[in-house]
Amino acid sequence: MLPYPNINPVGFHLGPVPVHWYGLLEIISFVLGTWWLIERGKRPDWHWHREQVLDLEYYLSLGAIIGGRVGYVLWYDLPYYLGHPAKIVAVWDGGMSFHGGFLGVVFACWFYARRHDRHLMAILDFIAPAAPIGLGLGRIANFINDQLFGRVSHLPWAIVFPAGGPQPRQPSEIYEFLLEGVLLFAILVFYSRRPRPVGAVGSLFVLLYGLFRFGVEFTRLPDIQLGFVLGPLDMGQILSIPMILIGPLLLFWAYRGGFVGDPPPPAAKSRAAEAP
Amino acid sequence: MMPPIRPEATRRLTWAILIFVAVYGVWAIGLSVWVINRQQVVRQHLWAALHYQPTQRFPTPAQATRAGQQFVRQLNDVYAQNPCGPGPAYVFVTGPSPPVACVVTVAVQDRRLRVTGYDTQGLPMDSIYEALYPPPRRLD
Repeated sequence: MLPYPNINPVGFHLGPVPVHWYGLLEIISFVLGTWWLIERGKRPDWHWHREQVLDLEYYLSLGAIIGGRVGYVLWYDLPYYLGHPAKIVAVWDGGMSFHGGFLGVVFACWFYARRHDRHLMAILDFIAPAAPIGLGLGRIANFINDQLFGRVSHLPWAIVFPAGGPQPRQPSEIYEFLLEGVLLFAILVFYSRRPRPVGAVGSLFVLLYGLFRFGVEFTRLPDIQLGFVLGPLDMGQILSIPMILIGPLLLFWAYRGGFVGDPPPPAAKSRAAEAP
Repeated sequence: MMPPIRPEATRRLTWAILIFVAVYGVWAIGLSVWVINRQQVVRQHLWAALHYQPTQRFPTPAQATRAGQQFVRQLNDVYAQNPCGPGPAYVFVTGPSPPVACVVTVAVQDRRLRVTGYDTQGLPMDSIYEALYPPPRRLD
């Protein structure tokens, strides 16, 4: 059994304002993800300028936050929020759903694509490898915040979480950090090093996230207000099933050439026209 | 070699996925609400049992059994209805109990009473975690 590291959730103070690690890690992940996308956008196969990436990040942030909150309200505690509708906007009290955030991001990409003459699947391909940066650091934030821990366990690396009572538990946030963060990032970066069919990288993210999340949930303590929802499955697993089903379908479709890529930028068009 | 996919086919696939996600999402909302409302009942039952259970070690297993049976009778008197499951809310068990949804069992272990809650799917609940965080809405 390992001791829970005594990390103060407040990283430091900015004058009278306490800066929590949770918020700090969210900001760090946003900055890192944006920087990484700017660098990725410079590659000749992408055609994304810095300003375009920053503009896209604005859409993505809105989609992730609104979608994540709406998803949590609808799928994780609707009876409570129907009784306390004013609490729906209280995101600072906690309660975000990855699956809702994911749908919000897809919607935001679709909206961006319509406004900027791009294609949805090409945008998803572009951003997919950056998503694990935020997901992984988010899980570290969960660990520091003493939340979303695992089920009771007597494994040598089980941890007594202060908020979970005296029993040792699976450090499921760390498993999620390693799978949804480190491993998913490594696979997607490695896979997208070579040009792939349009839609393939985004589809691989959908499939792998669904699989990793579904597996890790077997070690995670279900939300107390829900418990298990369908046999031994919890809500995180129920919501991951469509990703596991749709991911391979999209991947197959991508390799059959079913998705259209972004039109080349004007400069590339003119170069192509000048070529003999 | 397979023929290339036509744009109309991709459009149909997009609509099929959208409809599937929408229907599945609505179903998941319904499932969540149904489970939460029933889980609320089990959490309340479990919290009451954990809160009021005799914690001492009894002199003999027989005395512990009698105390456990009496404790279960008292709880079932207070919570006469079990809106979550078909049977009584509390059951005294003498051996390994089969998984039953929405039931709180009381057993004797090492001359002490041991309370275990079974959630809406019949899976044992954490108990200590539920004792730390009682349900916000009470039945009584």
